[in-house]
This record gives sequence, C-alpha cells and structure tokens, in this order.
Amino acid sequence: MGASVKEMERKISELYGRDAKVSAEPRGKALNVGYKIGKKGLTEELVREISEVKGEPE
Amino acid sequence: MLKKRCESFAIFKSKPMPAWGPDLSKLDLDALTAFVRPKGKDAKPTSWKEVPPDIRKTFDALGIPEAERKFLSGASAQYDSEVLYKSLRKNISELGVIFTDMDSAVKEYPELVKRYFMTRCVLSKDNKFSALHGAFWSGGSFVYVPQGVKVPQPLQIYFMMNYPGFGQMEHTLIVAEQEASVQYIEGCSAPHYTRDSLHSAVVEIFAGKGSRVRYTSIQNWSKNVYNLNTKRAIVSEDAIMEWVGGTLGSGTTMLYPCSMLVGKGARAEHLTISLAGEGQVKDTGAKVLHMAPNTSSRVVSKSICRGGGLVRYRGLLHVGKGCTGVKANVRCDSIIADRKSVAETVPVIDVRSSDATIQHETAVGRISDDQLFYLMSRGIDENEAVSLIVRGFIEPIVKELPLEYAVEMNRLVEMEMEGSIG
Repeated sequence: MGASVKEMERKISELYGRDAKVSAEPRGKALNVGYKIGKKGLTEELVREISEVKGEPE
Repeated sequence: MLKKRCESFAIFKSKPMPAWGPDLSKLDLDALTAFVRPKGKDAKPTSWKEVPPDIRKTFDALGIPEAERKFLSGASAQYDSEVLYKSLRKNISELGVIFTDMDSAVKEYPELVKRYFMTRCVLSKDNKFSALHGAFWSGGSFVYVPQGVKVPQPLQIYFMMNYPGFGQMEHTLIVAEQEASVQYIEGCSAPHYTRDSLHSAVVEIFAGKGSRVRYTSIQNWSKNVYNLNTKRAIVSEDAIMEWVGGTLGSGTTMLYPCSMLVGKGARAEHLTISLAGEGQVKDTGAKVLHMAPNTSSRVVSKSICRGGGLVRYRGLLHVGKGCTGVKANVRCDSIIADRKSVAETVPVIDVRSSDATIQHETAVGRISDDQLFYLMSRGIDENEAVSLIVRGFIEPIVKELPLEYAVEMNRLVEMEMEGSIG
C-alpha cells in the first residue's frame, strides 16, 4: 500500500526518532554495500561480485 | 547468469544516454550504489516475526502484513536490493503456483528462468537502462501459474528503497500458462534523502493462450528518485493483459508499458494515472503492438499536473501488415491545475493494415471555475471541491483497483492536490 512520502517520513521519524531526510542517513558498512570492493560506481567488478554474493549458477 | 550480466554491462557501457524525453543530465550513474544487501538477509526469514525488527516496523507502518492477512494469496517485501520476506498461501502453492523472489528462482527453477529471463520479451540491448538492469539486477519476483490454474486473490510485493543514492533494479518475471489467470500488485516507497536515487526495473510478462494477467503498480517513490523502467508483455492467442498503474511519486519518470499482441484475438488494456507536482516530470504512456489479426486494445491515461509539474503522454500504437480486424482505442485526458504546469501529448499511430478500427481521443483542460463554484455554493470548501472533481476524473481507473488500494490512491491524490488551485 503506497504511503505518501510525507506520511512515510513522519512514520520513520516516529519509529526511529530521527529525521530520515538529512541527518542520519544509514552508512555503507552497516548495510553491507558490496562485500568485497566496498565502494560505489558501476563496474564489471561489482557485476561479478553481485553474482558471486548471490551464489548464482553460470 | 554471470555471462548474461557481463554481456549486459558491455551493452550498457556502449549505449549513450537517451537523447529524447526528460532531462537526465543530472543523473550521475557512477555515484549510485548499485547493490545493498539488507541487514538480516542471511537469516532468511520464513515468518513475518523473523524479519529484523527495524525493517519490520517500516513495513508494518505501511500496512503490508495486514493486507496479507486480509486479501492476498501471497505477499513479498523487498528492502533495498533483496527480498526479505515472502509468503504464499498453502492452498495456492498446492496448485503448482510459484511465487518467489527472482534470486531464489535462478537457483530453484533454472530451466524456467533460462527460458524466459531477458530472452524474448525485454532484451538488454533494448535501451541503456535495460542493459544497466541486465548487469546489476537484484531481487524482484518470479511468478509461474500452471495451465488452467486461476489464482483467486492477488499476489503482492512491496518495494522499499532505504539506502541514499541507491539504484534499485529488481526484476519481475510473470508466466501465466494456457487458460491461467493471476493478478499481481506492486507498491513502491522510499524516504527522501539528500542524494538522488534510481529505480530501474524490468518487468516481463508472458500471457499464454486464453490466459488473463493483471499487473497493478502503485508507485510512490520520493521526489528525488529517477524512475526509469522497461515493462513489457507478450500476449498470446485470446489472452488478456491488463496494466493498471498509478505514478504518483519520483522526480523523473519514464514508463511506457508495452503489450505485444502476438496471437489472434489477444487483448490489452492499459489504465494509468500520472500526477506531477512541483519539480516532477512524468513522461509516461503505453505501447501496443498489434501483431496478429482480430486483436484489440484500450488505453486510458489520466494525467494531472500542478505546481509547475510536467505530464507527458507518450504512446505508440502499431498495427502490423496483414493484421485484419484490429480494434484499438486510445484516450488520454489531462487536468492542468494552474498556469505554471504543463501537459503534453505525443501519440504515434502506425497502421499498416487497411482493415483496422482506430480511435484516438485527447482532452486537456483546467479545473472548471463553474464546477468549483457549483460545489462551493453548496457549502463544500475549495480543497474538498477540487478533491471531488479530481476523484471523478480518475474514477474509471481507481475503480479497477482492489478496495484497499483505491482508498489509498484517492487519499494520496487528495493530499497532492491540496491547495493546488492557482
């Protein structure tokens, strides 16, 4: 069910006690961004890592 | 799959950004985080209670588990890159229906995935964003409905983007075999961060002979999300494909669901609502390719712009050579709520058969002062009067939604329209 952005921000703020807009954006490490390369950007290295992390068959 | 990903990546690198449509020059693809594994993914929750509490709270607040209990055959929830929760009622799975996340499908149903995944319906080479998707896709749904099985209640997935500067690229693959029927619903939300995000999904639908598939999507991304999707269905003989969509959120949207009517007697319905407020560009529409005799289609697009927003209907209606007895009707209506906003229509009609009945109607207007005056003279305040008029305008599409969604859609449109007359 789609909640409006305003409504969601209000609820997230209520639930987590923070302003999701600016101040406390979650950071990479806490969310396991790229197990190995740990950096942003669209590279073939990341393509391979995604496939590996998911344990995809060939 | 890795080979397919790498091939797609090469295509992505070789293709330029689209030179038509909305301005994408501020979209910095290299600044995006293309893969974020949600916390708790390794735990593989099998019940709602096992989903990590902070994520569960977010979905609880959106009413997902309640909807599942009340009226769904199955439910699923994706958080950032991967699906965290999925369920399917036992009586539905016993019929042979598969409803799982796409990542699991690759491992558990490799033959089906190999047969359908980006092979005929949407190809990586179609456009830059389908190529991007082919390389970095993660999560999404796989639905398989065996021959003759009719799924009585909808299947639903909810997508949540929580990571700032993120690119969510889930893949949805729906296969309805001969005489099967299924209704699938998607909802999308994201909190508003300071950095732009990208949603680049691909939806592939195969509607077998005599089947009926309804795909409903209510998109309410935050307004700094670029929503650039490729959605397509291959519709076989006497099958019915229905697209119902509400595009409310996101900053820039490019979305043109496509029905390829390849079997005689196939039918497509495209019903969409687009709403653009301040800073929003909605470049949306529909494509219908009549590639067999006696096929029919109906496109109804309702657009509303306010606060300087831009809505643009972009459609393609193609009737192939030798396709006799084709009937097609396109209707696109727009409401412009103020002098700052813009509504445009870019229809392309390409008919190569001498025996086709094609109708195209377009109406663009503002909220009439007379209508407002009439309602306000009966004691209704301006906001409520605007809301009533807009609800009447979108009613033909909203009535196609399940009740819970219809209520939510009306509420969202009402909120967006508050104070919009200028």
